[in-house]
Amino acid sequence: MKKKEKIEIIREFTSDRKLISELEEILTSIQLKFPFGKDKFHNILVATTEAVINAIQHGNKNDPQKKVTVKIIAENKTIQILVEDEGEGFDPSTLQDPRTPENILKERGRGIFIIKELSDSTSIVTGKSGTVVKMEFKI
Amino acid sequence: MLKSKENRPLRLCILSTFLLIFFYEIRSQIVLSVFQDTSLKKNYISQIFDKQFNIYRLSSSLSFAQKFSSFNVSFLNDYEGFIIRGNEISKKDQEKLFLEVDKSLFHFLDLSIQSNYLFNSDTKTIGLYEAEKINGSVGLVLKLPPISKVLFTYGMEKIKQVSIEQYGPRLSLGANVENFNIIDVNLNSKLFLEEINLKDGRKNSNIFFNLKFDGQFEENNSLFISLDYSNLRRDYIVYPIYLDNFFETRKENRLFPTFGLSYNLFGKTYVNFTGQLNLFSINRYYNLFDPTNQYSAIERTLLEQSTEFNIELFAENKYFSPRFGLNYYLRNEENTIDKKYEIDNQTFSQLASTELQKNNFQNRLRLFYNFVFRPSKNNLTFLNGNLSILRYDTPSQLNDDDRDEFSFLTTLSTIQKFSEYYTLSISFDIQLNHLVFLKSTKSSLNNWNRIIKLTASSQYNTEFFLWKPNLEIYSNYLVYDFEVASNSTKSFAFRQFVYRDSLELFFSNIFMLSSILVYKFSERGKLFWNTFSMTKELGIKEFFMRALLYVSTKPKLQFGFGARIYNIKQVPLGKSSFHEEYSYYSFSPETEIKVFLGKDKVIFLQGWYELKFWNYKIAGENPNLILTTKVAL
Repeated sequence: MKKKEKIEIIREFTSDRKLISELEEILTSIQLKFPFGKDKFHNILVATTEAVINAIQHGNKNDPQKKVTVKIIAENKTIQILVEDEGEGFDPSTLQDPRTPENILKERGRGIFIIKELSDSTSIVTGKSGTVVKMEFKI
Repeated sequence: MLKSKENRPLRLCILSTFLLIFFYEIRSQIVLSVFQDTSLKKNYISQIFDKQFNIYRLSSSLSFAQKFSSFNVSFLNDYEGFIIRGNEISKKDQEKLFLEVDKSLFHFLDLSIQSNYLFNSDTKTIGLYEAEKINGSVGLVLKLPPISKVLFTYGMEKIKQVSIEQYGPRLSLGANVENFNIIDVNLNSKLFLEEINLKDGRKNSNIFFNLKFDGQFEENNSLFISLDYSNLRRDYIVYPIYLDNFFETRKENRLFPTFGLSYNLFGKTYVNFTGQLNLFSINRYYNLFDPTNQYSAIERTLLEQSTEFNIELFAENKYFSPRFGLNYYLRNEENTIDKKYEIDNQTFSQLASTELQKNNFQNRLRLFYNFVFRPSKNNLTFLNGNLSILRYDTPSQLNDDDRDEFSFLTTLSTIQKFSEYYTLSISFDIQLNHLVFLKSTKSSLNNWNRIIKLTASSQYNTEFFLWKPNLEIYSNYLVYDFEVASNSTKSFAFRQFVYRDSLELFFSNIFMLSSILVYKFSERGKLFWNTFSMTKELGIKEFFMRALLYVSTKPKLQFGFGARIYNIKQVPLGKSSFHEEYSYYSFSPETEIKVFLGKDKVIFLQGWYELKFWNYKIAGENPNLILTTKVAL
């Protein structure tokens, strides 16, 4: 019986946004073992980048002492990505759809909107010790 | 609809109780508490169903109050539920239901029966907030002027938290005094006591007391003194053990005296003064020791004292009304622990250190002003401002949040009405914040933040159209003080341009066109404050347009159809940008139907079918629907 392949990668980012370019390298290495199309690669990269930027800017508030942890699990035609910050959490119900006249002028909510649109499933668990954004992509 | 099936017996129980009371005029053993806000001013039913993207929301509300020949009935029901559909489905429900029946026995005595039902559920949380409560009481209301009401009730309460269900007797006592006049001073007071005794010493109790004196002396002088006291106790089932004899007690005490004075100094010049003191404490402890939970061995205490004073000097004149004020706020928070069960010294010291890190002391001085100019009946110009200094100290060496914050915000606005058809308003805002962390560990975050905003809007209003264009330019500059020493913090600039436009064209009594257009462009990049230059990193363009043509038929139906378009495009700017380029576009045909069934009776249906494109390729579709019904009874 063929053994199921699984890749699990964990990276910790400080609030230095330059490190985001590492994500591209990680996804490329996963793509070698779990082939998926160019569009899907782009979707995963955009959604993950948005989640990490959100975590740095809004979660950790650019505090260099706080870290953003990214966990990537590739298994069974699914890539699961968890992005966790060390901020004080927020109320996800306050984030509204930006595609309405009353919300388009608001500053926040674009990142989560993009993540939801690009991933096949998104969940947000938030509390006083941080926020975890979990994204799933079918490949 | 969104509730679990487990709640059905309870809902049926409440409904049957209601019917029993309604038709047989009280023979029940159900609840009460006259001192809740049960004043139902309007009778109505309203329902909203909303499906947008993957979020479903249902809310319904029913309010009914009716006086019958020998008794009064009040009924209130509010429900709100959310479902977020993804690979995992998460749900959140909240429901409140209240029923009260009053029957007059004598002119000074009423019989009162009440029932309350509360339900909370949220699959996203750890489960402790999964709670359900139903109670029923019967009691007497004694009406003794000037003490308007004294109420004593006795009943039963059932509480379900997570999977633990318990029953217990419920006792309550309430009294209030309304507008009792003592030598030109008005006295109002309320008292409410409630106690529910559950199994194994578990109990919930409430004490609320309010006393207020207020008086009006001469035409423009007044003062008030008030005192609020509350004492609450809650015994919560412990996470994640869920045993019916293991609970955490939370006791909350608050004393809140306030004082206010309004005095006419001379002519039309006045002074207002308010002061308040807030003494607050929370005690938390467990009734049993659990070796796997170190917090069960200790008792935690939080003490909070805060005080606030506000003084305002103002004048009211025909052309010019100035106002100056000063506000001072001081707050101290202290967290301590005591041993309740045996615990080793090292663990106790660690827990004490964690609590100590929460301690803080803050004081803030705020100056504010507001000048209103009315040079003519067609112009209104005002200048508002706010300047504050905050000092935040933490005694623990392990907490490095100690900081000073300086903030200044001012707005100059003018509104000019040129004719009965055309009004122009211009507003200019400046905001300045300086943040200084007092410990070196966080000093890399010290920064100056400057925000400038200019807004111009106008309104053309004629018999045939209403046009409201609005333009906004916004700049935000954040400059870190020590960015040279830190690789990870970089000063940035954010600039944004927004044009918003709404237009309504009235072709006839039957046809009307309504449109909204928003265009937003923003760019962000690294800022070099010394040379006031910027290396652009990211540009975002956003566009939204919605246009609907409405057709109204006499007298009851309005039908609208049109479309909405949304586009967001992100473009990395410059070589150092780490952002990805994307473009999202959606086009949605849309329709609206509004049915007027009579005064305060409306049904509203709105739907739009969204076709989505990612980077110019089809990326799916999504139907959205909103149904709202509001019917006055």
